[in-house]
Amino acid sequence: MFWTHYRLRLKSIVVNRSTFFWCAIFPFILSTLFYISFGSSLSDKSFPPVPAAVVIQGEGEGKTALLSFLKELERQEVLKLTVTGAEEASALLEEERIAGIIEYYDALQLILRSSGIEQSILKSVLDSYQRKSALFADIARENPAGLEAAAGMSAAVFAEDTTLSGRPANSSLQFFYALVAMSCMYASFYGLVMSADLQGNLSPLAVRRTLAPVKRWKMICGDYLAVLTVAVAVLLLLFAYLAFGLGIDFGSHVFLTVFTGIVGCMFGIAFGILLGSSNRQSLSAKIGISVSICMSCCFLAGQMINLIPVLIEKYVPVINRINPAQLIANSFYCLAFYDDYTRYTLNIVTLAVLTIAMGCAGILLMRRKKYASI
Amino acid sequence: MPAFKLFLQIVNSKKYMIILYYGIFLVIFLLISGLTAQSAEGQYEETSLNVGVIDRDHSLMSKGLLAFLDDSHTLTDINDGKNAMQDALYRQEVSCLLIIPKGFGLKFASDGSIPLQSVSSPDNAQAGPLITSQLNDYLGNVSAYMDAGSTEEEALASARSLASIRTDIAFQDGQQVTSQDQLPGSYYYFLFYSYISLCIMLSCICPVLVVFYQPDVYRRCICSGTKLRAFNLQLALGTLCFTLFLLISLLTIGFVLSHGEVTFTQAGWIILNAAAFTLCATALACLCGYIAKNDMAVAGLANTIALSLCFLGGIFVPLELISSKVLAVSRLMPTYWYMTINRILFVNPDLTAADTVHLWQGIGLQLGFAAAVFSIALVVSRRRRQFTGR
Repeated sequence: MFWTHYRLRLKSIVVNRSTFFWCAIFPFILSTLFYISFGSSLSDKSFPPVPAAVVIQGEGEGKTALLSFLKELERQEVLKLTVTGAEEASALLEEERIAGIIEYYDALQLILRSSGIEQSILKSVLDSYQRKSALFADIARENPAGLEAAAGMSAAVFAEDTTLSGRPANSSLQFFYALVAMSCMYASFYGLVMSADLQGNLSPLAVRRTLAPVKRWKMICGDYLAVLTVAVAVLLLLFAYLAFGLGIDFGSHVFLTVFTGIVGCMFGIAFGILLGSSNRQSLSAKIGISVSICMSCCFLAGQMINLIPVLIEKYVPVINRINPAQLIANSFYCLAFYDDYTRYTLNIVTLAVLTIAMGCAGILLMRRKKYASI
Repeated sequence: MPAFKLFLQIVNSKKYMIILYYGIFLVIFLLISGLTAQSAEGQYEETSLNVGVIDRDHSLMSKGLLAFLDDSHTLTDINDGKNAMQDALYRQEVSCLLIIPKGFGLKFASDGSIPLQSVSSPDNAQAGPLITSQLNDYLGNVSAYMDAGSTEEEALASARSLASIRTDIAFQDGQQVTSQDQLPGSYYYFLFYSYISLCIMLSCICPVLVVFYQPDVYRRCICSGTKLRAFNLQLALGTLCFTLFLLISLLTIGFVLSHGEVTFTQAGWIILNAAAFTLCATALACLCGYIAKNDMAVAGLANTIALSLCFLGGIFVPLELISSKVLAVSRLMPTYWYMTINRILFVNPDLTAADTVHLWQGIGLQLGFAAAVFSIALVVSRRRRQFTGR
């Protein structure tokens, strides 16, 4: 009888298109959207040349040197220059076709219209030029004989980027890890449908099942296993799509990564069961509440703005310790970027405790219910 | 007006979801506004990071370069151990780590070098390269001074004084410009208004239309004494009332919570921008309501459309991270123009004539989008009525 319940529940999940969309199709759509929006930053580390106008009035050694310096940067594709007059440059800046105007009349000045990464690059480049000019002027004044030796060393490299785990950092991975967490939490829809089909006051199917001469625990276990099977199958497909289709790095601990996803799905289902059995609202109202809570948890885990978990960790760290989406996303981080399993174990144990607590509460609310009239 | 009353009843059944969205939105806004710095008028400020330092050298050179970094960043000593370093990064105590290897100072002075190592936090990949770039610049200058004959101490001091040389920044037409890092919390409130208004409109208007276009309900309505035209007018009135309620309530909350961050002129433009965008959201809600057949489909459509528009329009992801090909598509989204107008209002509070043209352009495009989607919705509704009425 147990396997009959399992088989029938499996069929009903696959046939239910609405639930299937949420749990199976939506994460794929969102991951593709993420990849389209900023997927190029995952593989391409280079920044496109910054467009800037150069306005130089008069002549002089300094101005010639500046122009050569800027032309060299253009050759290295750091900048994209337009040497023009003041009025045309101003018009280009107003139309936002350039990031800034490099102006040299009596002194070097940078004219901006807004503030951002391109403007920061322009400023950084000009600061570097002015410092190098001051450096050589200083050396020429104090010790002209050392000028040639000084010129050779100033371009050497003294610091390099490295990692503790051998994997390069990538700010965009936050979005994808939170997306997998969202997919796990959306398994709550299966839990909602499952609880609605087990309580006689919530659906006609549940009425018939309640009247059937079958032990309730067999029904609950059969349904739960079927729901978990589908959720894990979809999760594995999502992992495969992200890892092989979009090239997202989950680290080398394949088994632990999948295990984290399974625990996440179990949490999602437990949450759905608890939500479904804790009140008598309609299924659509419960779905609305479930979506709101899941999206909020995912937002706090950095799915939309990757700075949110950083700010929360700084000011309200307890939210990061209990937010299930953040626990799942952090677990993926720990596996990918950290060698020590302590943090990972803490996250998984917390998630497991939340899952067991919610699951037990949900099942306790569902059991031994009697209806005066249905 | 039976149709209008039924509209209100269906929206009333969604009140818990609306309250939930409002509550979540306010909590997020309070979170962000409490954590963002107040804008410094017209100033350009460089990025300042929390840097974790592991100094294995303790030489004059290492102390000198740490003094240089301390001028523009916040330094924190971290225990020298992999666990401690990973903990510091994991708990976001620092944005990146700087490891000064043993013997660095000695090797540097003898014309060799053991490279310094910077390690970025996994979710802040730009921090390490920024520190690396600044250190290469500084140590290059130190090395140049030493090669020219200065002592180590003199070279460190001279290079540090060079670091205070900064290019003069001026803003076009002398206007005040606020940097991205210093935008007030109200900027983010009005930015995320777009996502919340889309979610609420799609979640509340669509179910009403789903109910009215169920075959049995629709057939009973067209058999009733109420004319179809009156029926549609009542639905339109209900939609308009709800749209106005959403617009007025969210804007009022926004202006109250902003308390003085927004000028009168900005407020006027914010209202126009929000009204134009809410109209777009209403149009999308009507179109989705005519397409969706049940509440689950509504929920799916609502979230897919809201997230897609917001991600592609640059609401959640900075435009600098989006490729130029995707930006070409983004410009078709109303969220892109809404975000652009919001950014102009807060980054350049002193609006120039060119800014005003951009603002009108953005509002016009949003209204055009709304008109286009309304037209499509009317066509779809007509076809739906033809099939449903049989």
